[in-house]
Amino acid sequence: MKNKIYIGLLLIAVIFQGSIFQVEARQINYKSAEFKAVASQFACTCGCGQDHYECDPNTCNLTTEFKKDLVEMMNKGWDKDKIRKYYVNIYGEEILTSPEKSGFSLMAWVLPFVVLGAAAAALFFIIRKWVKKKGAEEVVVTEYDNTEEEVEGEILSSMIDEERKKYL
Amino acid sequence: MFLFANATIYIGLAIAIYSLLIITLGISTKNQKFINSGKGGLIALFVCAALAMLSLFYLLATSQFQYEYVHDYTSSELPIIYKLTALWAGNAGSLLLWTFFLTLYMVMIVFSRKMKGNPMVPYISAILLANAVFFFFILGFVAKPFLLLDTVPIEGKGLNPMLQNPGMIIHPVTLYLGYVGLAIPFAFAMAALILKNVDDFWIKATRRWTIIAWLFLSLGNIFGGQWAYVELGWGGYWAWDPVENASFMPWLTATAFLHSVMIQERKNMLKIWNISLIIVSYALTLFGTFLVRSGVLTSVHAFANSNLGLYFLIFMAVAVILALYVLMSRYNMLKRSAGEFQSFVSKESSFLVNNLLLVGAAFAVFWGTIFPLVSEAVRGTKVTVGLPFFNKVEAPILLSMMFVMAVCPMLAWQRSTVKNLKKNFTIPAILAVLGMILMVKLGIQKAWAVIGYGVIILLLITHYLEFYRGVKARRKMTKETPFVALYRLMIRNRRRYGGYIVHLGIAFITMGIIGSQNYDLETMKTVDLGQSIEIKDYRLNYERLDQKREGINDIVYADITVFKNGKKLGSFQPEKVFYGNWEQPSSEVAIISSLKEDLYIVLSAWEDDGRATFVVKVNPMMNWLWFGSFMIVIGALFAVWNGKYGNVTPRYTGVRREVS
Amino acid sequence: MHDITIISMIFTAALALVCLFLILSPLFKWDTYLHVSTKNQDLASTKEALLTTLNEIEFEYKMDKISHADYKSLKKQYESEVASIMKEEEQITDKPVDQELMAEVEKEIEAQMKSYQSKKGEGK
Repeated sequence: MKNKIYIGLLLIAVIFQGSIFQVEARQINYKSAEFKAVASQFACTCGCGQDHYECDPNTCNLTTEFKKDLVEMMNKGWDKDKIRKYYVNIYGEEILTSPEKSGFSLMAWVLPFVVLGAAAAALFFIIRKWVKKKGAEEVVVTEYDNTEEEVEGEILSSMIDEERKKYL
Repeated sequence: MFLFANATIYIGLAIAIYSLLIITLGISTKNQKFINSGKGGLIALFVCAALAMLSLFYLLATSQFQYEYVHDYTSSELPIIYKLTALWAGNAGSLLLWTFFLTLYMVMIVFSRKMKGNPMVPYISAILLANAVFFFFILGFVAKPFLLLDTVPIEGKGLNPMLQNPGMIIHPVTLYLGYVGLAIPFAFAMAALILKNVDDFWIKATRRWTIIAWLFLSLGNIFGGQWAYVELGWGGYWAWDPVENASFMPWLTATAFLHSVMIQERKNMLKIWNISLIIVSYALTLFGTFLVRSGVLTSVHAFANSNLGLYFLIFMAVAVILALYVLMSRYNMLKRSAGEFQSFVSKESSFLVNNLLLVGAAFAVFWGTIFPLVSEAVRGTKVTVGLPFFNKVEAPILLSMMFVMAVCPMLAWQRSTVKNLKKNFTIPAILAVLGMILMVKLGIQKAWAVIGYGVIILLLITHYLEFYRGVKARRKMTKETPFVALYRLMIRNRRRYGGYIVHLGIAFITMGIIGSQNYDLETMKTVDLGQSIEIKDYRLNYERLDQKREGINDIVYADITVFKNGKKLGSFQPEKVFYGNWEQPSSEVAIISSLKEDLYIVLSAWEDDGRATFVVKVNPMMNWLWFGSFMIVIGALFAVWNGKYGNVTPRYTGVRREVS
Repeated sequence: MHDITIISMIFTAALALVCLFLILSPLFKWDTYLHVSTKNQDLASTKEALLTTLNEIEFEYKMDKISHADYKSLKKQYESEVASIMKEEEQITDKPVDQELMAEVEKEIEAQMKSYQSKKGEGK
């Protein structure tokens, strides 16, 4: 039973060992907005499927070190783009949570909208074609030849009206 | 038990193959006896699948660890409910569940009163039987649920604690019901095509099924999100994980399908499009399974077993190729009756825009999901396509979708005029803009939030007007009292008003999503006993750290008293659970929910002097999400409820010259 | 294997027998298909559909979604379609002459005629 507490302690020790030696490193909160901007760019590769901002250091040892490194770099005054470049150089694009907006990876961002745009254009022309097809035809206006037929027509229409109300 | 349990699978496989063959034979020789024999086979198949399920339930409940599946996913101290639900914790069991639902649906369809004497039945049975053959084959030879171990272990490995949550009891079940449900309209569409019935009978016969499948699919996604929110301790509910995407894509295409079939029903158009949509939706359900089971993409949902995904891919490819072949061979018949539009501004065209956006959104998800594979294949570099990508790409598409949803109710079938639209649109639009200005004044200044909420205001107003004007119009004709008029209006147009209720539900969900995505706050602090953490207007007093034992699990918990603006809200206990038979501890979060926001407290770590680290989040408007989900259920049930009225769909013809 | 018991064998045999019965029994029965002629039903359902269409047009007009001119012409169009179906129905029901019913219909039409003529002044 006590074991579990010890495991917890061990975890803590692992997480905060950096903090014991580097006082200034503690200044950056792992849940602060500035840290989020940096850390959420990078995907954790421990299999948790989250980024290094979300990934819980208690269940994922990999992110502990990574977070520490990030804080170190931030303390050195690196901004998020510089840190991003640094990691991409080491690990390649895979480390990023979303592909770069340049080179081949730009395809990932652009293609959905290109397809959507093309489909929208196609849709526009199709509808126009359909509407035009109708334009050629004449709208029917019922003309009655004489009053007798008109009366009959009116009767019919009021009968239909009655019938229709059953379905109201 | 071993013999019997396996017999259910292999007899099932034999019967499925036999029934498929005899029905095909019956169709080609026009022999009713053969067909009836195949139909008997359907019942036999259902009996087999049900008994296989019961056997596995029995084995799980009685903890017979000599069975590999029982050993892998349960342990003796597990509560009985989780012992049972471990049935869908692993590959083989969840496929068995899928098979069971498939056979259940088959029996329900083939022996339903409405389908009696319908010549489509043998074809539908054959198509669904082909599915059943595949699943029984998988159960019999690839993912065997009733495999014996060489030795009899004393204890099982236990169920992944993440899965020990009420959300996990229901999430896979609803998702599978949704997946299987989409096979039904697919089978009907194919049967209709093979029979050269190009009318809309298949749509009418399956519209209830489609809505039910859609509802289950929605619920599957929602329960999944809810489970992630309370169980994963990360404060989010949707991560655009490949598997989530896999269930979201068919949802999008099925939603598009539900809308575009209305055009076919009323105007006899878009036949090819509708059939394509249902083929795509059906294929996407299989594709999703392929993604989950193959391990080509890393995912938290990934199941261990391997080459299973390949079988799904092959089956999907065969199904799609056959379906496309059938579609192509009937292409001319379908094309012949292409209809016409009478105006640019009409409900029809707005539905087409809706389809464009929904399918576009599905494509974007698909593209993002497979892009890592594409990138690796094309240039050999792996990339990760994660949450930021999908949020950025999907947000504009889905937001424009919401806008179309807001405008659509104001359009008439056939021909709306711009003049009428202006007349109906001006006031809601002005109100929405005023609302947006008010929001900016009140401090909501993020562009997405302002635009999103503006669109939703518009949507709420137009939907309200739709109900209000409908009642008014009905009263003009029938002189009923307002409530009677509203009631009758709704029950006689179940699908339409059910659909509006679903729209409102979607609006609430969107409000929740926008709120929680844009205005969440988060902090992580290490505090001493007796100290407090402040976030927004909350103060959390850390009172005590202790541990307790539940069964074989050790639980470390902290007592936290929460104050809001100085007023005590109560005491809460975020926990960390260490499992007797699982390596990873998990967090049980404390959630204090209100209409406005959720306070989300995670006990992250602690030291022996009592210092503890907490992650505290404020997630705005989470309850709106769950409330919206509830409205979706209500709306969908309202739409499918078997009422006396409202089963007749209006039908429009083009302008006819010959009439005088 | 060790765990094959007599009970298990009995159950398996029972399952196999039930399945065999289910698939084999239809082969020895003669079951005929009922083909209901649907021509008349078709007419009725088309009429129903057209009437609901008329209702929908009515609603859309009253809810300000379509213009007056469109409303008039659409209404005319669908009414004439209903009328032609009604005529067709009459012809079908004509053959098995149901005198009583015919008389009733006649009476109804007459009554309609009268009420219409008395209302004619008001207009609709």
